[in-house]
Amino acid sequence: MLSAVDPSKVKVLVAMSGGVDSSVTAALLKTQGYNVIGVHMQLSDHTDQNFEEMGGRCCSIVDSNDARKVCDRLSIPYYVINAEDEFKEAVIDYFVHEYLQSRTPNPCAECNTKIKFNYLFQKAEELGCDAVATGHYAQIVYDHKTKLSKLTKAVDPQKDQTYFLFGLTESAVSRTFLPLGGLSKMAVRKLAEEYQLVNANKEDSMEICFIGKAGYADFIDKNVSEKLRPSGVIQTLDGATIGEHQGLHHFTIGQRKGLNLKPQEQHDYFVLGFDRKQNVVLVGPEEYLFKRTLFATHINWINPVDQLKPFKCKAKIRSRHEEAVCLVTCFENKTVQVEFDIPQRAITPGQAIVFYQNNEVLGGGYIEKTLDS
Amino acid sequence: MSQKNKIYLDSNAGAPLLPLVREKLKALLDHPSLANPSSIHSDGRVAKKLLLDARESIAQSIFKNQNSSDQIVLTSSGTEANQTVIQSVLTEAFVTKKRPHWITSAVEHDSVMQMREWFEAQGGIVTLVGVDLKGSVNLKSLENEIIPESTALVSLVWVNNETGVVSPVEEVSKITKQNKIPLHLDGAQAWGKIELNYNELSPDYLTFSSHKIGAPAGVGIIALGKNVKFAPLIFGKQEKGRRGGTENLFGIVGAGVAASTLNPKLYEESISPKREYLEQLLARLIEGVKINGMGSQRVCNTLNLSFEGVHGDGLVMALDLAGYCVSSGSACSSGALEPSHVLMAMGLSKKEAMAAVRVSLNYDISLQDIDHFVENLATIVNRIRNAASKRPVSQTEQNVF
Repeated sequence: MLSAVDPSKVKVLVAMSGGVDSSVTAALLKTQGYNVIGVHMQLSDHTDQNFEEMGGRCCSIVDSNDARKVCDRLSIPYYVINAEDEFKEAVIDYFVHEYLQSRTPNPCAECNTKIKFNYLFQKAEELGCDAVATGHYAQIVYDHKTKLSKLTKAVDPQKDQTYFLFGLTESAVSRTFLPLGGLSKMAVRKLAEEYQLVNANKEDSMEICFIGKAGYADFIDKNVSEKLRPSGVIQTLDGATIGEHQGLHHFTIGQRKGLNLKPQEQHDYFVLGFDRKQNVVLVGPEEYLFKRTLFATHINWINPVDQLKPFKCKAKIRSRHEEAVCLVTCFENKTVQVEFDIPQRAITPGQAIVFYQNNEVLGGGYIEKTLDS
Repeated sequence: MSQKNKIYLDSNAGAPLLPLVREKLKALLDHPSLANPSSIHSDGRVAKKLLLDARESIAQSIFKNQNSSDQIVLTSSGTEANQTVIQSVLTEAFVTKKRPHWITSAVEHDSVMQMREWFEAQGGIVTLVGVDLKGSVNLKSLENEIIPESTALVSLVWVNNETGVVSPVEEVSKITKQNKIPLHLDGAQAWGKIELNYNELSPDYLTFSSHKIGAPAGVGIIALGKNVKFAPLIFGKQEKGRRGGTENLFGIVGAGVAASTLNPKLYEESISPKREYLEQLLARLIEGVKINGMGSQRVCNTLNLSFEGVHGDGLVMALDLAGYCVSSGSACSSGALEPSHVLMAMGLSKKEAMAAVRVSLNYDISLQDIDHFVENLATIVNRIRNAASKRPVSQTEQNVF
């Protein structure tokens, strides 16, 4: 448990995006007396970037400079770590590959697990650091009984980011500081002003960092050969063709907009799924979107769970989903079956499913498919 | 690990300001009447005198003859010096030759490497002469690459900034003279470190940089051979019309002072045993260490190291936290994090090249500093190797999507 140690003896590597959250994280830890080192992960090549277009975006050169200024202000060392290759492989390639499988990926969760924590921990160890800190809105609670650290939700439900952090291990959580978990965004901005940080009023980054304004489908169109994303038709469940599409990756389950159907048909149709062999988008009425049972893979439990008997908890199936009560049954190979008490709308393969017990994040994985007929 | 005083081991990126330079420049800041050296009035004349004295001192250190100060063109940087020479000679070559050809090496400084794109865009042909595994330029292939009617310039780094390997400049000079091809030597890392026998070599163009010899950054020098062709990059009346722009008086005075102190023999005698000591300690205390450029003639202060299984940048950061300033690759390319083209040209793998760090010594390092440095280095290298071997793999990572 880190908090029991004399702060000045704890060397903390703070992941600094250049945004206000990670900057305040560094400032708070520094004020508490920790030995803080700021690190900015460069995730994409800056040299080709259009300065105007990319300014203010995550990982841009502007952000790197902001992070540098904050570290200067706090008198802490600052380094830029290049993680372009790692990011490309773990996040961008995964993202593209998932869409080409007609799945809807969650790149931020992958990035958190593999880049912001795994890779960062490796760097932290290289630099002789004892802990890592980030500006995520989530909390870590030490359980004195089990002697394990738990990941719990942020106090501000609007900012809670635990949905994206299910891939952490207990060993990582126990060596992590998340000082913003108990604060509201307003309080964080206020602190940034008090600390006189340059980015106190900088806008939050909202979209997926490597996707420009043109959107994710455009990104895939630009990066993938046309042969791998052929156009095709839109059909109803009874096989009637009612429209055309420019590649399955333009669609996600539950989508209604952008189907370009004949005007009189528009109202009734939602994307229900895909027939990848025939390259068809399947549409139908909204009630068909509600499913009770799903199968998820790549499950990570932050603290051990009893996998021998099914247990009740709540699950969240996308970032803006209101978590719902379910029964989880564990199988081998890190897979689970999840049965919701009440059918859930638009359960989407590729999206993360995250399990909660009250405020604690038990773990999570990726939705493979729904099992209802 | 001790974290008391910083130990500076990055002289090849920028040598520490010499005490004498610091003293003179401090005095200059308090000078009552510093003006533009081109001004006619008395204050201008004072500035002009400082400028001329500095120029003579620089000329003296290069030509061993201060009357040669007209053969010097002062620029803003070594990069500008190199690029001025290259543009000047090769632009002229488009007039006199059908398809001009430029020979340079695969281990040049970026400031030279970057001119390839420019020259090729104009329609010129570039040949990069390779190096052997020890980093030495292949003389045979340099000679073979010469196309008598087309080759317009040979540009070669005298001392490599990353490895310290000394190029066989005497032989190259013979080859270029026999073939009547202008020779451009980039002497930035040679200045003050090895004896410059200017008259024996008489290169047509020789370039230097002020911050490599303990003066502030901001002054580059082109030493012109007798009767060589030259066209400016920046037009203006200064530098006898060869480089426009008001002179950087502070920088030039600093460069003059630093140049006057240079003593390659003393440098070698003082630093060479220290590097030898460092190399022996490394070999004894750290496993899986490789000295890049070993076996070639190297300047005495430079040591380029690869540690098996260690990323150079992580090592540079960890050493910095422990109080040691070193470089990974060359300072200019850090941040871009491309593997060093110099080490790649020497046959290292991308991984080995990324694992390299450069240690460059200066007068002020003591044997005790070296002991502590190697001690810390060993700890850090072990730590990095451990971190890489037990990277905390999350459960999701073990699966491939």
